[in-house]
Formats: sequence, structure tokens, C-alpha cells
Amino acid sequence: MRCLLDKAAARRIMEALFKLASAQELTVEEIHALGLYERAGFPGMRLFIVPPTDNVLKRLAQVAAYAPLIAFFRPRVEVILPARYFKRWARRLRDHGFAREDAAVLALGTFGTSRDASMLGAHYVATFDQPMINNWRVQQASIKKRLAAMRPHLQPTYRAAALPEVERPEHIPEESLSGIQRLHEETANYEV
Amino acid sequence: MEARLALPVSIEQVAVVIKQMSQSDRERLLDLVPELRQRFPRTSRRYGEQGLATVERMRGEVSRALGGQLLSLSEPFLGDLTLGQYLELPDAERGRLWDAWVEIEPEELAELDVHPDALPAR
Repeated sequence: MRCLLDKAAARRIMEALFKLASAQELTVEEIHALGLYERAGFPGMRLFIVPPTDNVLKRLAQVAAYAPLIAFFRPRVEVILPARYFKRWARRLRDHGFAREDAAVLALGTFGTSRDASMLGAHYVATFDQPMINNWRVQQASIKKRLAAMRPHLQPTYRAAALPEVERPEHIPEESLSGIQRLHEETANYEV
Repeated sequence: MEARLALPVSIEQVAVVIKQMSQSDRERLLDLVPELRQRFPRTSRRYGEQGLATVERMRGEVSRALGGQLLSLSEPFLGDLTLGQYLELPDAERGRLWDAWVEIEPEELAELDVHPDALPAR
């Protein structure tokens, strides 16, 4: 299962780590974000951050006091990168009432890839932004229709692009090992 | 029997005063009332046992990553703030600061071509 953290969800995890490192009490949201982060160490679970988050982490890593904490955080997460059609899809999502930044993270959930370009999209986008979650649900049918209309015009590799589910970190389900195996089997059987 | 003083103000008023305190005043308060450092049963109800277990495991991992040393709240952070000052800011303000520190947006990056056998999210 692949899960993409929006900028605020990733920030909550970092703030939770800062607080643990300085013996501060965590908020409920930070604990939920931390729970998702911990699961990134489990087999079959991949956690992604957006490039802007990666940029802030690089700046923090240059401050000596935080470098060990960033070095601790980074191995469990990967950076998602825009794949072909990302910009086109982000523009279309903005037509559905999403702000530019929200449209970008949602578009990465469909047309995002890993550094080795071996995947397309994420299964979940994790966010604490409830209006974004609500709008995604309300507009789901029309967004699906829009993607379906776009699909025949895409290069074959991209026609399998799917919409992610958008959930709060505490609502991202735990994928069982059998579920992961099923996912790979279904992917292997997929025909363009 | 232990004599107890009646609070001249409500708990809510005490909470407002604490929220307005500086980090150093809060630390001084914790020194004066060490009982505040204890975890109350309510914490467990709010976060759930699983959440608390996560926190304890991650606390251990973070401590090992830092070689057993705590980060000081007076440590300089980004944007001329200390870590303590940053963590005390309201969430919206911390979000605005991250936006300012980002320096790049996904739209500015070149789009990659995925491998023909790239795994879709299905």
C-alpha cells in the first residue's frame, strides 16, 4: 500500500518528533500522524512525502542540531515526483474547487511516481484537511467521470491511473499481508 | 486531614493564564508543580492505548537516534526562531512558515515518464 502525506500531515510527524526529542507533550493529531509514520516501517507499506516537504527537510538537515532527527525520519519515507499528465490533471482538479496546493497533492496521488519510476499513483492521500476530504467525497463521481474521459487520450502505461482515497491519518486502514499479496496479483493480471 | 485551598478562579481561567505564559515561565511552573509532568489517566482515554504505545516506542527510537541527548527548546530553528518559539506558534502560523520555507512547488518540476510496467495504485 502506498500512502502520500500532504504537507501538513508530514509537518505534524516532524513536529511530533521534535516534541519527543525535547520531552514535550504531543497533541492528538501529532499522535495520529506518528502512528501512520510508524507503520511505514511495516512490510508492504510505503509512505511518500511531496517535494516541497522534502525541501524543508533538506533545510532543517543543514542545522546541526536537527540533522540526526532528519536522518532518522528520512529512511521511512520516499519523495513522490510528478509523472506525465500530472499538470494536466492538477488543472482539472482545480475546476472541481480544489485550491492549487490541494489539487497538486491529489494529482500526485494519481499521476505521481517514485524516483525509479516503477509505480503510478498512491492508494491513499493522508491529510488533516477536512474540507479537502469532504470536497473529494462530494465530487467523487464527477472526478471519476473526468478521469475516465481523459483515459483514452493517455499513453497506454498511464491508462491504469486511479484516484486515491483521501483520509485522515488515523483512518488509513492497516493493509494485511494477504491484502498486499492480492494487490500485486491484481496488478500482475491487469491488462492495458 | 489535609487542608485544601479553594481556587479563587476557575480552571478555565488558570488554563488561559498558562496558555499566555512564555516557555520559560511554563518550565518554572513545572518545576514548582512537578505533579503536572505525570501522565493522567485521561491521556490514555483520549489517545488510546495504541497511540500511547506508539508514542513510547517512537520516543525510544528518537532517543537512540539522538544518542540519548534531548533537544533544547532554545536551539535555533529556521526563520530566526528557537525550537521552543516555533512549537509554541499556532498551527496556522507554523503552516504559513513551512509554505515560506518550501521554495519549490511540484508544478515547477519536470514530469517523469514511468516504466511501461509501472505498478498502478489499484
